[in-house]
Amino acid sequence: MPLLTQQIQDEDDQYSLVASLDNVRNLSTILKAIHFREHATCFATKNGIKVTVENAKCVQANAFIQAGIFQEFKVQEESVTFRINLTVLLDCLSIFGSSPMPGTLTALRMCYQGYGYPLMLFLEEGGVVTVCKINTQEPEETLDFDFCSTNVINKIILQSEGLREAFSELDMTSEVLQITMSPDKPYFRLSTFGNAGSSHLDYPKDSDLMEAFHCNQTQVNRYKISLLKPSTKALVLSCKMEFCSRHPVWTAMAQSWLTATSTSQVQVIFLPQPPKHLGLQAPTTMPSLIFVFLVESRVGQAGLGTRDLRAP
Amino acid sequence: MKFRAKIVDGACLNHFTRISNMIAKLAKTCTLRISPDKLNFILCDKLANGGVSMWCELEQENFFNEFQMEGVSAENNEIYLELTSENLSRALKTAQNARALKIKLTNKHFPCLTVSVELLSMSSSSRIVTHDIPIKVIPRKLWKDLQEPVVPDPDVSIYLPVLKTMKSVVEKMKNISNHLVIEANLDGELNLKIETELVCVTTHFKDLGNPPLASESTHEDRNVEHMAEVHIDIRKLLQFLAGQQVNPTKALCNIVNNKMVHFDLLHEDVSLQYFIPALS
Repeated sequence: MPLLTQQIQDEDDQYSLVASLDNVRNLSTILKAIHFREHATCFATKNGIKVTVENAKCVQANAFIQAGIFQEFKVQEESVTFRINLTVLLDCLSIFGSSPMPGTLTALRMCYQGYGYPLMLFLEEGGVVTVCKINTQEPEETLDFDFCSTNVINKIILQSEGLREAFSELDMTSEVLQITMSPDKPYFRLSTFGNAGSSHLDYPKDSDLMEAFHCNQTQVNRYKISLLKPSTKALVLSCKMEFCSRHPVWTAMAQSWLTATSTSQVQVIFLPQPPKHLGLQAPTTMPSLIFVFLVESRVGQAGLGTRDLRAP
Repeated sequence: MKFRAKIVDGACLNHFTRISNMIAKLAKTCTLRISPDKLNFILCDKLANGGVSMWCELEQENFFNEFQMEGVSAENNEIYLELTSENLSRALKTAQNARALKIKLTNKHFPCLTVSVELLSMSSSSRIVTHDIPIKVIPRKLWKDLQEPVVPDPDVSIYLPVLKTMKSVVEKMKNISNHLVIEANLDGELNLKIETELVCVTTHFKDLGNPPLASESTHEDRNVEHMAEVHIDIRKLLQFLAGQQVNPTKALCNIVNNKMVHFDLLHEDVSLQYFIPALS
């Protein structure tokens, strides 16, 4: 990126966050997957950036973009947090057009000076440079979920291609989507109860689409179907989808995601509806369901492992 | 008043169709001026157009191999017609692989521009498709508003970058703001800027080149890096850029500081001038 490297090499110290990407699409694709609200909170540490979008404390979508995806990634402080208008950010990232022209790549350099400063974006394509200055806001409190693997009750990983059709055909006249996960039949079932009747979609545990199946107890949970909308965007872009239900133990935050440099992760967390007959108020006593989507980006494949975002 | 013209050359027909498509994108209703050697598509700067004006000129002998016209009178040997641009481009759509295209002024219950297309069919006998485009004849007293606009002395004259890139950028900028600033200098730099309370976006085009100045002597002392700028409605700029489906042979941008921006394009042998005024 000749045009951008002549910039701020020594001025880098003034920025809390500096990130460079040769292909801005690697970032904009993932952010589009969680774009169901106008605003998002960005949280960066030296391991990468997490972008969170929340809806009415019922749904939380997180996009984890690892440091390895970037050609250059420097975070001066322990952590950098700010709230930003995601619609405007996406418009700026795709300023040279939404559909890629064959053979052209748009390069990105992102700089953030710290609290109270705007986010600076430098985008370059074919010698033309666009500079964007987006005002940042006070970061909002987002729900923190604990992701220790010991809390997992059930975990099922399916290939997304098998689910896309199912999700697009869900009976939207049903108020809820019921998800059944069980070590016995029907193993994994998606059910809707609409005006025309109830429909059940079963995925047997030996199905070709099933990548991993770990069920300890039978769980049946219902989720408001209208809140599922955000996940369909992520589903379209992802290669794998993980359904994970955990015990809600709200202890110290521990985020984990896959370190494969080729994949970034989008995670959508749903708090289920308490069953009406129990008359429960607080959904946090119920195990939360987490949908995790793995979004492929264009770099080569690497092995999968887990790494802690907060690891020093 | 009489008008009859015929195109038989396939390349001329395609070029004429492309010009008509461009006009349809730039102006919903426009004036067609027919004179002995030229055809003009005109949009004058009425309030209804938002102050935008357009002047497109083509030499009739570059297109038509038959051309006969008789104006309103001997001293005023011109015809001014008002038509809906889309009607003409839609009629020309059927002329894609035509053997011949004839245009003439007729009166079929109301004044029309009749476009008849001679098509070759499978059985090698020809088929004729006729379109009657309703038009309004513009009376002579209104002709003075439809004359070639006077191009004021620009503060900066610069060659435009690839229009496709400009259009992609302006399309995205439209999502953020309703108006933008276009600025350029004599050092080959052109910038598009938008600013809202949330965000500022500036796109920099460099090494564009400037045409030689008309009056070298008076501008000698001027700083080449000084920008001339105009604040315009983004949608008007986008409409202009969207009309350019093909990259023009020549594209020039003239800026009169805080007054207006003038685009001077050449599509092979057809010249197009488009004026966007500054926002008040």
